[in-house]
Amino acid sequence: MKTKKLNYLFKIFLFSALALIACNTMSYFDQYAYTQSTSIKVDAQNLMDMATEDYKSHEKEVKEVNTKIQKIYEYEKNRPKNEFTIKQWEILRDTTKDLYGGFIAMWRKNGKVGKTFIENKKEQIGKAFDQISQLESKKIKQSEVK
Amino acid sequence: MPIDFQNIFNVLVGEVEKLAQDTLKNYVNDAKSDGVAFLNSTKADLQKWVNELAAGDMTAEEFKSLVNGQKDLLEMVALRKAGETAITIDKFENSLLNLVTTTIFSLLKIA
Repeated sequence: MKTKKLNYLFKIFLFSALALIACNTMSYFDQYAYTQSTSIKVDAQNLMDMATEDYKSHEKEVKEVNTKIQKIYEYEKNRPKNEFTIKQWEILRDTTKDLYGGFIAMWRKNGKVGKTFIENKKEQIGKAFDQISQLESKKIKQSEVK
Repeated sequence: MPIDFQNIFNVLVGEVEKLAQDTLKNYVNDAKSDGVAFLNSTKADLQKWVNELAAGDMTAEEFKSLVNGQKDLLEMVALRKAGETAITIDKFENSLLNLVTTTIFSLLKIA
């Protein structure tokens, strides 16, 4: 009887102790966030193809992609323990840096940009989007946590 | 039934050491190959851009944007790696959690 009680108390102690170390430091995998990052990558690259033409004639398309990025950024900001992904989106959309935000700023300033530059920049920005989706895909799925 | 805590502890230490070694070995190998791949790709890109600038296919401003963009890309790669490190730690902790519970329950023969 005493041994049974001891086992029971030991189990409770063990579960309590392990529960304390079982708190993840990173957000769990999110299918919506992953799908959005890969989908917006395609939208952004398609938009970039238009940059050989006058910026003013594509303001509507620019606004559409910017809005999508703004929406996913707001979504990511509200996920707990998601600092790395948030920072990645901030770098990507920053108009003072030289990824998506910087590209759009340059296109707006110059009116249009060169085709060779666009091809190179599309590849670079594509890799930047991949960093976001690759990090998301590595996150632990909630179903994997026992 | 008396509980042999020393035996439980010894078994756990051995299992945890093995788990840590496997986790870290895989992580270090991945990080190394990732870093080398990025450097090789940057080198190839820089060579291509210099040639295109020299050929007049790009303006100096566009070239500068690509070089600075590579620096921003590197920052994003570093963030991905940092995030993956945190995920590796989380996975290690989750495996540790499972290991401890299954080992102890198996040694104590309790379900």
